[in-house]
This record gives sequence, structure tokens and C-alpha cells, in this order.
Amino acid sequence: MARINPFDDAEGSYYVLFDGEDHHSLWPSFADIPAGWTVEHGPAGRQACLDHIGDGCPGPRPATAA
Amino acid sequence: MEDLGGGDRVESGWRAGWSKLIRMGTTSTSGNELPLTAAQSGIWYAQEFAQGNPVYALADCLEIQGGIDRALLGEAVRRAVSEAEAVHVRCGDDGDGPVQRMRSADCVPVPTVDLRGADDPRAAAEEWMRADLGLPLDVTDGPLFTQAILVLGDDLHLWYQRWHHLVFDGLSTSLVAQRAAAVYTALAAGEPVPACPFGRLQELVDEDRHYRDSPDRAADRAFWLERMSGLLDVPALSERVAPVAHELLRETFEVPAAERDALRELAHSLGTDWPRAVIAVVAAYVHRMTGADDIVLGLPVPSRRAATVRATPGMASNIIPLRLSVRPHRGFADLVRQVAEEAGQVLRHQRYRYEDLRRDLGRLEDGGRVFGPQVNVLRFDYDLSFGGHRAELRNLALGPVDDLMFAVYEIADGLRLHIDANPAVYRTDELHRHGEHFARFLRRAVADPTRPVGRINMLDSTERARLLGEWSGDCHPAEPVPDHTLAMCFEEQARRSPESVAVTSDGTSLTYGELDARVNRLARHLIARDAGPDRFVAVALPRSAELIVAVLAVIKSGAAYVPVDPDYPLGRIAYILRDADPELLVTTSELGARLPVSGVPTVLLDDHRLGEELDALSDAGLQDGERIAPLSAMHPAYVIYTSGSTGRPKGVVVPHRNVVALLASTRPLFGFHADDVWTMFHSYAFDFSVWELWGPLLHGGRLVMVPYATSRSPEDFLALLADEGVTVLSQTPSAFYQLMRADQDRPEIGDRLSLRYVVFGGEALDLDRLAEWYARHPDDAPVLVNMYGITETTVHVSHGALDASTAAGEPGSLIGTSLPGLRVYVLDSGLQPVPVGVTGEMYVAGEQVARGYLNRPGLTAERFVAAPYGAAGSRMYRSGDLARWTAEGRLEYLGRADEQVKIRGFRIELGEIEAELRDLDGVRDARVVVREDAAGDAALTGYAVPKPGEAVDAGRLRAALAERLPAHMVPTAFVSLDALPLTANGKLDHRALPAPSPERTSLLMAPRDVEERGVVAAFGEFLAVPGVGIDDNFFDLGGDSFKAVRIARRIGRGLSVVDVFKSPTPRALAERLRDLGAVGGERPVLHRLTPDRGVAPALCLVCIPYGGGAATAYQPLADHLPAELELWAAALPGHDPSVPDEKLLTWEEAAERIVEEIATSVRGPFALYGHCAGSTLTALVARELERRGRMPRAVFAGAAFPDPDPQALLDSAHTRSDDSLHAFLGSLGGFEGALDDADLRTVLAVVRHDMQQGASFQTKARTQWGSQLQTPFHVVIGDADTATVGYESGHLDWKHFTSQVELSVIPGAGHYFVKHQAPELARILCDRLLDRPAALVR
Repeated sequence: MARINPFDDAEGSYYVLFDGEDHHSLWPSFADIPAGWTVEHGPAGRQACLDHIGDGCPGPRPATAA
Repeated sequence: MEDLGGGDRVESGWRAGWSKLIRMGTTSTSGNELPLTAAQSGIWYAQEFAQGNPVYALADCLEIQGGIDRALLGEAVRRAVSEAEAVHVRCGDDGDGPVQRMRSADCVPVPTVDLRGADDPRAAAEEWMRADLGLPLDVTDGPLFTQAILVLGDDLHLWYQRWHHLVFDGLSTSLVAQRAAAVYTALAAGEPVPACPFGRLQELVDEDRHYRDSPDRAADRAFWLERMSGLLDVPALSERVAPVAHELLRETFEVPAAERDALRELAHSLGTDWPRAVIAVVAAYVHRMTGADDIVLGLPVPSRRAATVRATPGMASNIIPLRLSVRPHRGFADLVRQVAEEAGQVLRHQRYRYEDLRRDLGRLEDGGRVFGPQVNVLRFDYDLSFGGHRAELRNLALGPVDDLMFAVYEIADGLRLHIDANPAVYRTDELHRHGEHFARFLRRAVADPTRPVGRINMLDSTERARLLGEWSGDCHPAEPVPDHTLAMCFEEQARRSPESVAVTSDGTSLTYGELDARVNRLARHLIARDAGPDRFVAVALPRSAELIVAVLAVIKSGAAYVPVDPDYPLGRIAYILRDADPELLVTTSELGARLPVSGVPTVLLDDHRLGEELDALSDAGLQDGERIAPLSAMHPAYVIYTSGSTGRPKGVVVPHRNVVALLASTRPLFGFHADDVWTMFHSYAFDFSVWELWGPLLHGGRLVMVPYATSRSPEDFLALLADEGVTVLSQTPSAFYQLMRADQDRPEIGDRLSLRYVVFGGEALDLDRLAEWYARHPDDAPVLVNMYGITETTVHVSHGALDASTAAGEPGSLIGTSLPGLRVYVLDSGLQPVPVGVTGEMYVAGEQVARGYLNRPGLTAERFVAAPYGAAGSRMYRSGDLARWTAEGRLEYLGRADEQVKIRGFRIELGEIEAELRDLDGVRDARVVVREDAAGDAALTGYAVPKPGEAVDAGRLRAALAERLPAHMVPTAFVSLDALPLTANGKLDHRALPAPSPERTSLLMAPRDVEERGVVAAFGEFLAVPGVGIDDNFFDLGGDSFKAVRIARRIGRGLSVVDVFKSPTPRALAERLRDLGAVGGERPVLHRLTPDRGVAPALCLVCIPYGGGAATAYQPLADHLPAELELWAAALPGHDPSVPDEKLLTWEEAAERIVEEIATSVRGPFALYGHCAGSTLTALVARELERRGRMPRAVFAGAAFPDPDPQALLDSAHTRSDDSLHAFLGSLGGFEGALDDADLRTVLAVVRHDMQQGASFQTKARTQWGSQLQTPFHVVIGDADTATVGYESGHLDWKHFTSQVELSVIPGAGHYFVKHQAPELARILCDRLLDRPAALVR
């Protein structure tokens, strides 16, 4: 049985949420947006959201330390 | 060995027997006899196999308010019931297959049960009805219904009606209720009773029969095959599967009128009706309960077409699958639309039987379903009136349910819903919870139809609060985590106990004071070389005290350490160094020279110049001002690389604060203290080591570094634990199981242990396996603690202390509850908390959640996600692990979400197979894994470690497991290993498990000529195994009977399935092909099924199969014969569907071939055995042999005796149509497996041929045989075989052919005992043929 996870639904619609400090979160657009987070991007397809966050390019040193 | 494909597949459903089949009516029925409808056949056989089971019935209760005329009511009921022809038939099978015989209407007793005097008349009525529902209705003698009028009060009556499902379906019950109401109303008004609206039963039967032969059916079949294509697995609300029980659980609730009206309104606004909306709610609910998006519901349908037939009481109903794609983000209204559209389509094809569809989809053979929960919408006229008295209908029973059924119908003030469930599958409390959750789910779905399916809340506030609060851990915050760095914590400890031993490694020890001094010097050196907060320093060192010094020094410098295990593959090391881009690499000269350190500045600890430099540095405590930047608890302490199931390794960045929080939250649970001795067993590149490192060092305890060689030897490690007085041991379950064995083998060491705790982590723990440990050790010395954990949430997440009774009594892997300061949510596809007992995915929030993956912002954002529960702005880690809550609020781990093991649609519990495998003689340890072959078929492979001095044999393991496990759980291949390979981290190393190919542990021989190449290619293709050698055994490579058919057909050239069985290697099969070529393609008929033992047997048994059967049907018997008996079986030409063009032989031709081959192949004494129709051919063979002066020792005739009227039998064999033959067999569940249409025709042609030959032989023999045979006949009968009823006298009819007839009976055996009771049959044959009690092969 294929169990689907709301973060892994290739057909789903997503947001990129931002916590105002240094964290981003992919977020299924059907779900309520958790308190303390704001929409930075979307709704858009899953890959578009990941592209927005910019995986794959090393970029600057990541948000490793506060 | 499994069934062979082809003809003998027919038999499994062929229980009514050969002779019956032959004589069964063709398309015409005599007089008032009618065949059963396809729907009836299903119930008939189900009931026949479950005699006395009362669930095959429908029942309703009509509650009539007001002062009704009881006598008139009785009269109306009697009349309506009398008019329903269907319930007055008698069904029976007196040798001609099941039929229904029309007869004049039964007298319809409608007793009045006066309950007015009872204390509680209503309760008394319920009790009365419940008792009646528990009584079976007799399908043979009738009546097939019960009617009663229960008087609860002068103005309150119940009309109770119950019907056998063999003759009535849901539509019928409402037709009769309406008719009774109309009759009563007319009688009460003194008006003429309106004409009976019912159609004739004959019409319903005709419609059913015409459909089966119509082009409509072929079109429907095509529709369904297309509609169901790609269906892998059908989600249900339980993983359990069980046959229909004798009763059902029922949960009932009502939907108030307002909600019903809202539902109706919603449906209308979407252009459909309320039942479709209810179906949509069920689909959404099943999705939420299972997480599956491909949902298939079963819809019971009337399956009638013509208007007159729709007005005909009877049994025609069917169940059709409704396949829906349910996604959490789509609104509920969308789903209603989808249901409306889909239902509109599939209902047009509702006459195609679901039993046929199951067979078409190959689900019969593995018991697989074609739909999950059923949704039964009962379309009653709820506004029935009996002369102005309102009557309300309440359903009491809807027939058998093997899993679960939602039933819904309209009542005056709303809707009533029943959930019927099989008590063998669902517990009462479970069903009750489904009732509550579903009712709430329905209400909320309808209240806001635009709401996405994933967001509909099915929990009440108390339950939700408990799941998200108390149980998840939100209500138990830990003590505030001190804002300390690991550097500060360690320094503090060093100050507290400078003289205590901190580290023991290889016989040398360092005190806290000595350790701190060395760490300070090295830290100062690292700082001088640019190490500091927010920077990384890689460490690549062997297990040693220096390793501890180096890690602590990196921590003190403010940098995060990046462990690089020197034993890692060089490619992985290069990747880590490239990805982390550290400032420095701390290592040794030797490793520095060997490892791919390109470009990273090294610190070589064994370099004497470094020694001199360090000596010059201060060993005093390091001040924060000395660092290149201030260090805070939020700075990363380490980066550990983990492998995902896919993709490249990713570095998990973990701050100081997380480790401090881990220790703060576990301290009160364990009470760690300075006298504790911990092992550092695991590689420092595995995060279990973080616990093993800081656990002792921040509590003043002693860390014992376990040398690598010791960590690989359970016995040496056990000795180390005893010698060092270790109190806290951390182990993966895999490593602990081995330690457990060492403890068992060396109790004198085990008795010296001082362990306080054994902490499990890193893998699922199999609680069952701890029994042997608890047998030797008390529950509390040590305490075994299961801790679920993930690198991304800093080592441990949960804590569950175990004891012997928990380990013995709890299922699966119990992982306890979340650590203080952490929250574990078990969420469904809509990110909603799942109720108790429902599987969901674990999400972890709290202080220990890592910062993310190094250089992977996208991956970080999809795994470390916003937390919808808990503090604003917090994050949670999506674990990808499945779990469910126990009723006590503890977590049960259920494996990875993406690694659910399914074989042919069955969920496989690998642990269960492993446990059985370990229990087998000679097996010390075992694991079972799923390997996917190139064809994409999942196949189980067993890995067994033999006990010392013993060996394991794949064939023996397979046979032994086949006796203990269902076929789908028996591994297709086995591999013997000296030891299970573990990773450096102590987990089972899946990649190190060799590919299964037991034959190939010897030399792999490549094909040598074109024949062998062809066979090897066919093996490779159908077994999906690359590099097959010519000595590889087909069955050891995962072959089964179905694949054998495909291979034989692919190779062609006269090769048969039997050849594949007899010559299972490419070498042997190629040899066979060469032989076939030499004899011009004519294959021998007789095949030896017992192994060649190299000595002459005491006696040969030559066997002839039953009608349509294959030689291999005798394999089970061959397997059960003692060594001195040899078995040869006849593969009659034309009987193998893999050789469709072969000509069928007459009995005379076949007998001649067999006799010739007996002359050439069979040496010494022999006997003949023939089963069912094959017995007639056997008699002919015996006669020919006697003529040639070679007399058999005996003739055995199984499951057969001559027919009194062979001419009638012959006529019937000629006239019966293919489709009716097939329909009959199909209704028995025959022809299962993947027979395509062409195969089906082939098998049917063979069946007919054998029928005709058997019948004409009997006719001829009676008139043309001048004398009886000399050979004695021995008749073997199964006393549960309905084909040979009357055998007590019937077997003597063999005296037409022979002078001596004896009888043996196998108790409880059905028709096909030759396969299913092979051991019993073998015993009878041996008793008869050998002069001593036989020592039988098991």
C-alpha cells in the first residue's frame, strides 16, 4: 500500500514558510500555517518551492549557527 | 512445491466432483428445476463449507406504530411472503450440482409473539430477535425465512423478517415490505388487493444466465480490467485477514435530520444524491486511517437490468469495486464529485461478478481482495404505511462480512449507520472507536465541504488534547536546559573530580585532570590554526585515548568536530571532507598519508614536532576570550553524516545545547553517577557514540574504549564488560543478540557482569528475542531500556524500560514515551494526530532537534518542518518512521514508512519469519530480507547462521518453514552465513548480505551450447536473475509452478511443465531438449516423480491423473512415499497448457502408450493408481496389461466408482456448453490463477475430452468386456467427498470390471485427497503394497 506523506506529494501544492530567523520549511498549502511562521513563497509546486529555497547550490555557509 | 499450472488448477474449486459435473444439467432444466444464479452459487458454496453458520442471512424489523389489526397484518405478511417465489424453492445437490427446485409456496407461519407482559417488552423483543438471528436457516429442507409479529404494546408492533441470503438480497426485502404494506392497506380499507407486482423467479434466473453468455459480459470484463489495472494493494482498516465468522460485530449510530439534510443539500448542489456523499465520507475516512491514496471500496449492488427483474425478489446482488484517488489537499466536495462520476460509470458494469474479477486479477490464489471496506446503501422506502400507520424499518443483519462494511439508510429523522465487522478481524473497542471517529468525521466533512480531506478533524477535544499533550510529551517539559556549552560542562566535571579516572583505553588510563590538561593544550593549538565557533574540524583517528582527547579539544576550541571513520570507504571520506570543508583534519601520519585529505591542513598527533609545540602550550583551563569568537550553546558541536535510503550522505549539524538537553532529560530517568562505567563501543561516526562519550564524561564516570577487535567478538566483549565492571552498556539490538548468545555460551563470564542498564538504539528491537536473556538475568540487573532515536534529534527520542513480562506480552517493538523536553507526534497524511491504534508517521519536536543538514537547505526545509502543534515558530523533524499509540499511550515502532514489506499484497512481518527460521534445528541466528529481482518482483531471502559444527540446507529450511508459515512468507532462497554481517555501527549490514544463489556457492558454469544458452536466457528472463549458471536450480533461484509454465512455453519445442520439474537446471533441461529433438518431439507419457535412488525399488506405482489433471498432481504423494516405492505419473498428451498444440488421445490410445512405456520403463512388480475419471483409464490399462500377461499387483481407484447410467453421462458430456462448464467451475472458485482466455479454453477442452472418454469407456466396457479383470481393485474414498456419496455400496459397482473389490476410507478427506491428504493416501498404499507397516517420509 502506497502511504503518502503530505510533504512528499509530487502533485501537491506547497508554500515555503519562514520563521523570521533562519529556518525555512516546506509546507503543504492545504494545512493551516503554524503560528510563528509566515509564507515566503507559494503556493507553488513542490519542486518550485525547493528551487526557491535553493538546494543543490552550496551557497554561503548554511544556517549552522545562530 | 506449489501446484503446477494448467489443468490441475481446476480441481481446487471442483469439490462437487467429477461424476456430478458430468451429469449436471446443461442449459435446459427439467420441469420446475432452475439453476442457481451466479450470486446464489457464491452463497451456496460458502454456506456449504460453513454449515450451520447463521450469518448468511438478511434480517429487518419493521416497527409499526398505532392500533393495527394484528390478524390483518399476519395475513398481509403471509400473502406478500407467499408471492415471493424465490423463498419457496428448495436448494439441493443430490448428485447433479446445486439447483433450486420450484414448488408451491410454503405455508408461511407468522407467529405472534406477545411480549406485553414482559418487564421491558422492547428489551424482550430485542432478545427474541437476537436469539433467532443466531439460528441457522436450513437451505436443504427450509424454510428459508422466519417471520414473526412481536407485540410490544397495543399500539406497538414489530414485524420481524429474516431471509436466507441464498434466495434473497437487499432489494428483495424492501420489495416484500412494500408489498405487505400495500396488501394490509387494501385489506384494512376493505378494498381489493392490488395485483402482485413481483416478477417470476425464472426471469431473474434467465437474465443472469443470458448475461453470462452475452457480449455485454465481455465488454464489462474489459471495462473492469482497465479500471483495476495497476492495483497493487487494497487498503483496509485492519491488516488482519480472517474468514467469515459465525457472528458479526455491529456498531450503530444515527445522523440527525439536520445533518442528513445538509448532506442532501451538499449532494444536490454537486448534482448527485446523499448516498454518494456518504460513500465519499467513507473513502476519505479510509484514506485518513491508512495514509493510502488509492482507495477501493466495495459497493453492494442489485445487479438487475430489466424492469420486471428489478421487481423480482431473489438473489442476484453483486459487489463492485469503486476505485478512488483520495488526496489530502483536495476538498471534500471534490471527492463527492469524483465519487458521483466514478459510481455513475461503474454501476453500468455492475453485473460482472466480483468473484470473476478476483480471478481475472489473479487474486484468488493469494486470497487477495479487490476491494476494502464495503459501503452498503440500503434504499428502503422509509415512509411505509400500513393503512395509515407509519412503519419504520430497522435493519438487523446484512449477510456475511469478512472485513468491514458501512451500511446506511434513511430513517424518518435522519440516517442510520451500521458498521458491521468480522470479530476475527476487529476487536469491539476498535470498532467502537471507528464508530465514534467516523460519526465525527462525517459531521465535520459535511459542515465545511470545501475543507481539504486532510484537515477534517475526527477527534473529540479530550482525545485530541491527550494525543497532542499528555502523550506527545507536551505537558512534561524538562527542567529548563542550562545554557551551557559542552566545553563548560566538561571543565566543571574535571574540576570536581580531577583524580578520578575518566578514560580507559588499551590498559592505560587518564584521570579527568590529565585528560583536561591534554585537551587544553591541543585546543590552544587548534585555535592557533583557525579552529573556532561555526567552523569545522575533521577527526580521523583509530579508537584510542587520543581520539577522546582530540574530540574534546575540538569542542573546547569552539569548533564542531566532523568524525571521519578511517575504515570508511575512501570515496565517502573524500565526499565528507569536500562537503564539510573543515579548517583542519586531526589524524595520524599513517592515516594522513593513506586518506584522501586533499587540501585540508592536517594536525598529525604522532608528529614529534607537534608534541614539542603542545608541551610549550599552557594546560590551564581555556578562557572564552582565547577563542577566535565567543562560543555559545547554539554553536554546532558536531556534524555526523548519515546515509539516507537514497542519495548522497548528508551532514547533520547538532549544536552543544542539544547534547546538554539530551543528558539533562535522561539524567532523572537513569540516575547516572560518578561510579558508572560506560563503554564506547560504537564508532564515533555513529551518533550513538555521542551518548557513550558525554554520558560518562559529564557525570564523572569512566569511559572504557572498546578495541575494534573486541567489538567484533561477542565473547571477548562479554569478558571486557565483566572485567571492567561496566554498568552502562549501549547496544544495537543486532549486536546485543550476539552478546546474548555469548552470555548463554559462557555463563561463568555472564555471572560476573555488573551492568545496571542496557540501552538499545539504532534499530528496531524485537522484544520476543529477549526471553533468553531474561531467563538468565533478573529484570532489574540490568534494566533493559529501549530507546528510539535518530541522528537528526540527537541520539535518543524515546525511553521505554522493559521487563520480562513486557518483553513477553507486547507486540512488535515498544519504544515507550518521549524523553522530557521532546514531543513525539504520530500524524496522518493531513498532519492530524492519529487515534489510538492507528498507524501514522512520527514527527519529533523539542530541544534536541538538530539545526539541519549541512549545505542542504532544501532537504533541511522538507525534513525539518514547521511544527503545527507546540510553541509558535518551533520546528519538528519528520522521521519517516511509522508508529502507533498503544491504549496506554506508549509508542509502538512499526518500521520505515517507505519500506513496508508487501509480497503479493500481503503485509509481511519479517520478524515473524526470522523467529521461525531461528527456531529450526541447527540454526543459530537468522535474518530475512526482501530483495527485488530485476523483474520487479519482491522476493524473500533467508540468511541463516548454522550452529557450530552444523550445516543448514536450503531445501530442508524451505520445507520446514513451509510447514510453519503461509506460503507467501516462506523465503524463496536461503543463504548460509558464518555470521551476520554488521556495519561499523553494529546494525545489520544489508549491503554485505550476499545475493541468494546457493547453487552458485560452487562453481558457476556458463552455458556451453545453443540449447543451454536458450534455457539460461529463459531462466534469466522469468526469474529475473542475472548470470544463471547451467547447474543453477530453477526452484532455488525462486522459480515456482507459474514461472515453470511460462518457461516451458517460452522454450517451446514440446517442452512441458513436467520437464521443468524433472530437469530443473539449464544443463538437464537442455539435455531434455536434445532428447526431444532426437525422438521427433514425442515425449514419453510416464514420468518418474520420486528421486532416482540408484537401486531397484520394491515396487513401482504408476499413476493416472483425474480429469483435466496433470502428472504433477502426484508430486505430493511421491514426496510422501518411502524409499522402496517408486512413483511414475502419466502426463497425458494434450493436458499441458504450455503445449497447447499437442493432440489429445482416446482412452484406448492413451492406454496403449502407457502400457508400452510400462514395458520399457518399469522394472519389477508394479501397481496402478487412477483418480476420479482417471480410474476408468486405469482399468483399461490394467486390462491391456493382463492381456499381455503382465499383471499389476493391484489397481487403486481413488474418489470414483462407476456410474449406473453411463449413456446419460456421455450425452451430458457432449451437450454441456463451455461457458456453463466454466461458470460452474468458476462458481466453485476453480480456474484460479493467471489463466488467460486461451489457456482456459485449452483446459476446458481437456476436461470435456476426459469426460467423454470416461463415459464412453464405461458404456463400451459393460457391453464389450467379456470377462472381469483378475487384478484386485482397491477403492479409496474420502468420506467428506460429496462426489462419492453412497460409496458404502457404490464402490461395489467396480465388480462390473473386476472380481475383487476392497475399500479404504480417508476420514475428513474431500475429493482431491490425492493432493491434500497425500500422507494418508501414502499410508494406505504402503499398508496394501508392502508387507509391513511403512516408515513413511514425513
